[in-house]
Amino acid sequence: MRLKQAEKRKAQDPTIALINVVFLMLIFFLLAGTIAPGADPEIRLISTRDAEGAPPPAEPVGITAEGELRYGGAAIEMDALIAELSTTRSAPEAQVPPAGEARETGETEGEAATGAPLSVTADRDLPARDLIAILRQLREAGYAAHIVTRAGGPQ
Amino acid sequence: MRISRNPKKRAALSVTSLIDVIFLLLLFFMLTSTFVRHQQVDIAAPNAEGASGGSSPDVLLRAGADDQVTINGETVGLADIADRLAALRQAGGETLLVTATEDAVSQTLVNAVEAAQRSGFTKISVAD
Repeated sequence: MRLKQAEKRKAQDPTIALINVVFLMLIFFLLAGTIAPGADPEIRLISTRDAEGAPPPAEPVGITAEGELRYGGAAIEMDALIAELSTTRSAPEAQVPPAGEARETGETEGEAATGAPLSVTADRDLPARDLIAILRQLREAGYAAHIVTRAGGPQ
Repeated sequence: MRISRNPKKRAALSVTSLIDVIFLLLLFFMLTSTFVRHQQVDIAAPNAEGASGGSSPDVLLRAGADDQVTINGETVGLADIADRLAALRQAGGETLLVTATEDAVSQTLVNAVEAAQRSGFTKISVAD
């Protein structure tokens, strides 16, 4: 008797498997990926032309044109902000460096201890004195800061 | 009788679903990516209030209203401060103090600091 040859199974459409994998990847990235937080719509960033390039700020401290501090998408007071920063960032400098000395830009004492400088996004219409005052308060709390701007030159 | 063999049919690639997925991916990346290029300006925060400065700075820069900047008492527009500062740097200026008037906005202040950094001043401090 002649044995019937086993019927070759028809290969399944590989597209479905492919789509499954791609969907899984998509869902993975949706859940696990930290999407860069959208810029605060209340803050119109300062624009610069030739400053040092920077990645989008991860957890910026925002300052609106009215001088209101914003952190994590909500308004916050300075005291609460410093308390919040001390829990989310490494400990600030134990001691504020002696006053009265000219400090070089880009170099902050104890930067290794404080971690990376804070990213500050200030509204372009914020009074400059308010900005300076806030920067001073942050420094007194031990946090160095840099101002995050958008490239494109003054508009 | 000779039985004709089943012709092996190759499954056609399902283009529609592929396009669906690609569109979803495209949408995802379009909605989540940001096209704003960021830059940063390091501003040395001022010293504690009431502290007196040590030595007087070589160059005094004051940001004022309407994008006007005063360099050592001389008022110039924002567009010209880079040239002025470069000249002062050539003349041997090293330390620079940036202040702001009551009605200056942050945009002017940051642009002034940016220009100072670009001109090669290394010791830039901000005071109010």
